[in-house]
Amino acid sequence: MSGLTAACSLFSPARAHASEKKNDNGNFTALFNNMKCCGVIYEPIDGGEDFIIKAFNFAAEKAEKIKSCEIIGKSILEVFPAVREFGIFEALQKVWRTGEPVNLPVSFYTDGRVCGWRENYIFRLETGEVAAIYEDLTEIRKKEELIQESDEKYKFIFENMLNGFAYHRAIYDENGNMTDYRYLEANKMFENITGIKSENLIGRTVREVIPGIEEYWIKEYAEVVKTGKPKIFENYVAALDKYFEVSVYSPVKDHFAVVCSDVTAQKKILLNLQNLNEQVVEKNRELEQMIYIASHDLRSPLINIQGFSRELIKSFAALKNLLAETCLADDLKKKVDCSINEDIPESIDYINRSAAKMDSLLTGILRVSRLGRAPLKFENVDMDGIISEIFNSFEFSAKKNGITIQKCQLPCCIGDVQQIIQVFTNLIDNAIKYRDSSRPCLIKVSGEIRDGEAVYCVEDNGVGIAPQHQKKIFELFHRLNPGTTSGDGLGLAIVQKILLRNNGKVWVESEAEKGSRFFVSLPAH
Amino acid sequence: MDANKEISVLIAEDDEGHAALIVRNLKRAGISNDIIRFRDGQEILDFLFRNGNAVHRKNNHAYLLLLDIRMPKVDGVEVLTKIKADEVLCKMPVIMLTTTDDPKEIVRCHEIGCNNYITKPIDYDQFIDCINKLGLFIKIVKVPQIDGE
Repeated sequence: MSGLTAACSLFSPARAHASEKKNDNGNFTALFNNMKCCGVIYEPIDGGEDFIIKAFNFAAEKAEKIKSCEIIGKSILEVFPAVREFGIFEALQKVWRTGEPVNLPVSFYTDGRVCGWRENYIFRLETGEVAAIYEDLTEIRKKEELIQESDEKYKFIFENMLNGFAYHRAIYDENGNMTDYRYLEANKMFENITGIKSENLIGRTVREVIPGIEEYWIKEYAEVVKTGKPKIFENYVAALDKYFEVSVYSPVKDHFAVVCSDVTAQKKILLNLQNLNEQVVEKNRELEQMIYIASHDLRSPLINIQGFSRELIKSFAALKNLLAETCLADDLKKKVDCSINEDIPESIDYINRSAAKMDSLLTGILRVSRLGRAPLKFENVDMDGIISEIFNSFEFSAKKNGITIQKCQLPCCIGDVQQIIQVFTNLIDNAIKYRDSSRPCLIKVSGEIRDGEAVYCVEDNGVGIAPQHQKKIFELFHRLNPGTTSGDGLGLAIVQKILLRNNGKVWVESEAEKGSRFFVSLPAH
Repeated sequence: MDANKEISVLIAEDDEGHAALIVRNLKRAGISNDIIRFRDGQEILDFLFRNGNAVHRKNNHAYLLLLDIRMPKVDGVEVLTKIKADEVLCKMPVIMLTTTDDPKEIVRCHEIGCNNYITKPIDYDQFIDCINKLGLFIKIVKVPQIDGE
């Protein structure tokens, strides 16, 4: 009913014929009530000191969360106590006074009961009443704010990313091959790490920005654009003297985004390391070569020393025979006999023994150096098979000396079969060599997988090694009891060297006079 | 045996002592053949390929070469390679005589085409035994004559 009343006063009766009046009023009332905009009609009272709400449409009811029947006839100041602060009250007064419409820009109304963003258009009716047509922009504003907030958030994240980011559009030649690309967007970090300002970047192509750009960059990006498959790779830009690690993806056809970081420092360290490693390898090779040549060349004079000392023995024997047939005075004969029977044979014996010792040392060095140069073939090693084979080769000497050798089920490992056979042959050979004659010799080989590694143990009940000597046993040519056993002092040095090359380890647990346990670890299968 | 008396034994060996020991023991083993010694790889090549002013090999004569590997100027492996690449000289038996028993080097020399490979042992008895066998080898082996130009 209030709407009808409002519409009656809203549209001047003078503008319609008398016969159409009722009908027109009904139409306009319906129009007013159902329009999308909020609409309120105020009647000024007390000479414009207050305004009484005369009409309040459905949209306004919804926006202000109040029914029109509750407020028609009431003062605006009573219903909407914050209108002065909001600015509409003053506007209503001004419009009523001047008759000039006022557009009240978007502002926020709140009175504790209701709140929202409103944009009002206020005008005076011919009846002297004032109408306010307005829109409730609250929802739109909320959405806008959300969008703005999210935009700002992403902008912030984008600009403050620790990685460089750039977005590009592919450029193709007449054959459809991507030959260039244009920078569409780039963040601050991209500028920082490339050292290229965005004003020199955005809108330009890479060939303009970096004329010498390596073809591999364009080729890699072209592939991502073509296949749509993301890619991560690392490469070098000579013009910037920098290495970049980039993740590339193509979110939209013909476009691609790059997230990149400057890995020059890491790369240079790595290259430096590689370089150092190459130097070490080269030095090692040189050393091996030197050992080889030295030991080889040192053998030549040894052949002469021994050869000619034998020649000397032959000549000496002839001389001895001659002297035996010669008559000498007693005192002279005594002196000659002393030389012939003691001094000369002793000297020659020392020469020969020293030459033989030196030969054994040189042969040892050659063997070890050869071991370092031998090419390796890593494969799965059937340890059960290998140990059984080694046992077979020791069978004769074991039987002869009353030695018991046992083995448990052994796990497989990865290594060079020939070298691993050498390791266990040496260990078992040592266990036999250093057995304790006061008790029957027992040698046991066991193994297990421990922390992803195959760990084997060669255990004996032999003479054992005192703790203070345990480290020395792996040294080249080191022999604990050179007088009592034969050997070149290389067995364990070779074991250690082989394991080093096969990514394994060897260590010992031992107690003097009780026995030893040699452990070998190798990569497990 | 008589036919092999005509064989000349060539020794390319830079070490005076080794050469003397080889010659002495070959003689003791009953080898009375002509023995010619060369001090390095270049000397033996000059002799065989008839370069330079020193003595050159004779036409239609049988030779057997004892070749050391480590020698100054041109090493034994290079000498062996050149000999085996030559269509006339390749018929000449070559016995490598060296101080190393490196399996790789032995394989390499056999690949190039050496006829035998002897490691000079330090053990003098072994050495004498080796030279004796070599003497025997020289006595019985059929050595082809090498043609001249």
